Amino acid sequence: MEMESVTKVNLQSFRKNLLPAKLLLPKLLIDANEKALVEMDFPNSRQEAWKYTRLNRVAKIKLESSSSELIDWSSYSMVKDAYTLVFQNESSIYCSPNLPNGLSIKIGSQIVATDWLESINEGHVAKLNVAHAQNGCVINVAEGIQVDKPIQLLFISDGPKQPNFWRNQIQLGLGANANVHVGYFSNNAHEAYSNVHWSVFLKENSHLIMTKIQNDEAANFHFSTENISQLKDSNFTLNTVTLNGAFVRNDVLVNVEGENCETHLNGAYIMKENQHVDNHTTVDHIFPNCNSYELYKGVLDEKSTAVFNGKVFVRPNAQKINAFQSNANVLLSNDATVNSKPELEIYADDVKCSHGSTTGQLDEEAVFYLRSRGISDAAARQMVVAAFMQDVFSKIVSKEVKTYIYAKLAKRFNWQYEEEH
Amino acid sequence: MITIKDLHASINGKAILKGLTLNVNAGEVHAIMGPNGAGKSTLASILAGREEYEITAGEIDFNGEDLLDLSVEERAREGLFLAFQYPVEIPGVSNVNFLRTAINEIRDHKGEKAMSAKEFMALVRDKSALVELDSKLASRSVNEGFSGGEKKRNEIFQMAMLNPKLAILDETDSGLDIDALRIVANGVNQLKTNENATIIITHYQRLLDYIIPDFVHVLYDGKIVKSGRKELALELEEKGYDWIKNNAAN
Repeated sequence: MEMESVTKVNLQSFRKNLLPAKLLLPKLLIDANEKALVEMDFPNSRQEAWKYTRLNRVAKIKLESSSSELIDWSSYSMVKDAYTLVFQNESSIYCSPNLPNGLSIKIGSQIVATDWLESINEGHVAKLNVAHAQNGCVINVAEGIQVDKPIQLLFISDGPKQPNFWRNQIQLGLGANANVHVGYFSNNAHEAYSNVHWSVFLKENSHLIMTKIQNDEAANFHFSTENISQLKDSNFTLNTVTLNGAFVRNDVLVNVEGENCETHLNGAYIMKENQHVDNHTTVDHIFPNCNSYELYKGVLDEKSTAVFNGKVFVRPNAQKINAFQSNANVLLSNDATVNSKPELEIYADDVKCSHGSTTGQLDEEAVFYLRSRGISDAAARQMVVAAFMQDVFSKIVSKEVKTYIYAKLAKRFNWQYEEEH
Repeated sequence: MITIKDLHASINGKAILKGLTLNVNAGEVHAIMGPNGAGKSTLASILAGREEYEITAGEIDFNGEDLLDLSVEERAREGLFLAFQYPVEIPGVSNVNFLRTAINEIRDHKGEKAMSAKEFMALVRDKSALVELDSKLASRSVNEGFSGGEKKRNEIFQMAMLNPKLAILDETDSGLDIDALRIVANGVNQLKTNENATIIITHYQRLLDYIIPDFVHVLYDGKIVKSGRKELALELEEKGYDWIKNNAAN
């Protein structure tokens, strides 16, 4: 018992320098959340969801919000022509003027408590977000609207030990269609902590592609939660591309709450040094006649570590479900580690589900073949490893985002991709 | 071109080559034949630079350079080419993209300027026609989903693109039907000049109906036990390898 009280102190002491939520959230939510949170502790590795992701490094950080100078966000921009919204720490520093009809974006103090739809806030990460949400946005795409340009959201953490709690919501009306690019970055971010929460609601027959680029500096701790609810005939894609960051945890939960839905979860992570990335995904099929596809691929070099945990539930009435899941990893060093765990729980009998998980070394035969044609060992390795990742990147529909990713990979890892025609 | 002197090599402590000597001059085509397990593919692997073999004795001179001192890619840049017995599939790496990288690394090694995109594409068109390789295949992922014949044609296409001084064809005829065999052989014959040389490693005489060798060598138990002109291949076809084995045993 004494152990427990000591660890509880950890989470409470971690919260000590954090400001209470600045966003206006429903009072009932705040109260219930706080009541639960004070009784909570950082989970330890005995808890399944945190078995391979230790939080002691996070718990030790003494966060401290400090004011910083306005940064030039344009260097972080991923696409040229978009409706753009930029956050730097707790401030929103830019929003495109003249949004088109049918697209509304409320930011920070513009959001009222009733704007928030009910969402899932289990676990210490989501609960911390409710308790300390400083800024964020609520995006609504009205019924039947096809947003003509991508919506780009840039979240920039600036300064050492900076805590950032961003909370966002996106709702697509009946038959609406949008393409959202989300970028996470940091500047001078030694031991900074970002906690971002997204609640995503797709009404009937709506279509959303969310592509998130996690390109924090190598000393940033990043927690990202996406809770998605899909209604009948909707189509949702989430592309998660992790390029950098000391520690990245992604929790994705998709509740498929209607028939004829499609869900695509794609993930790419390329890590080195002591970096750690953890992708936890859950797709919950509650209704029949739906398809879900999940493809996560990673390359781990040096002492980096990765965790993949993909849960798929097929509930008793959810017949005629096709659910495919695949996780593949390449380890470039003997010190890199991957813990991959697919979990299928199927309670319906007329379904097609599959999962696969592979972790291996680079194909040395392929490297030898390329070298035997005159290509250097280093270039041959880059080619083979880049090729390994290509099928995930090819899932990203936006050409501009793909070009952006390829440019980052060329800079960071010297990988070369041909533009697809 | 290449002089192999008293080459001894082993893998995992097992001796495979036991004193192989061979000299190939520019403008010549040599066929190396022999029964399974004689060391034919080991020889090809060692020439290309596979690292799992241990060279226990002997030397290889390649145009004045100590071949065994060169890395795999340096050998290729110096003009050595191996057509693989089992070409590797590399999903995601485009055939032409990797060939452009290879050509330019070779050019850079020689102190030459990189090839322009236009020049390169013209070369691809020209050389893929030589082996009747669909230009769509040329631009697809390396060997991915290629038939056995297409893979072998792709090897010769790459050979044509890289224009090596010495080409080693390792069992290129295995798994080829008669039409593919003719196409592959035709490609090799057209690439032949007085400045380059070819070593054909094969189990059967069949390919030698299409590519006429200047010399035929029989490799048995890690050594060349008999050398002759093209007629030797026919004799082997007729009498089988037992004849050689018996001679060697005596």
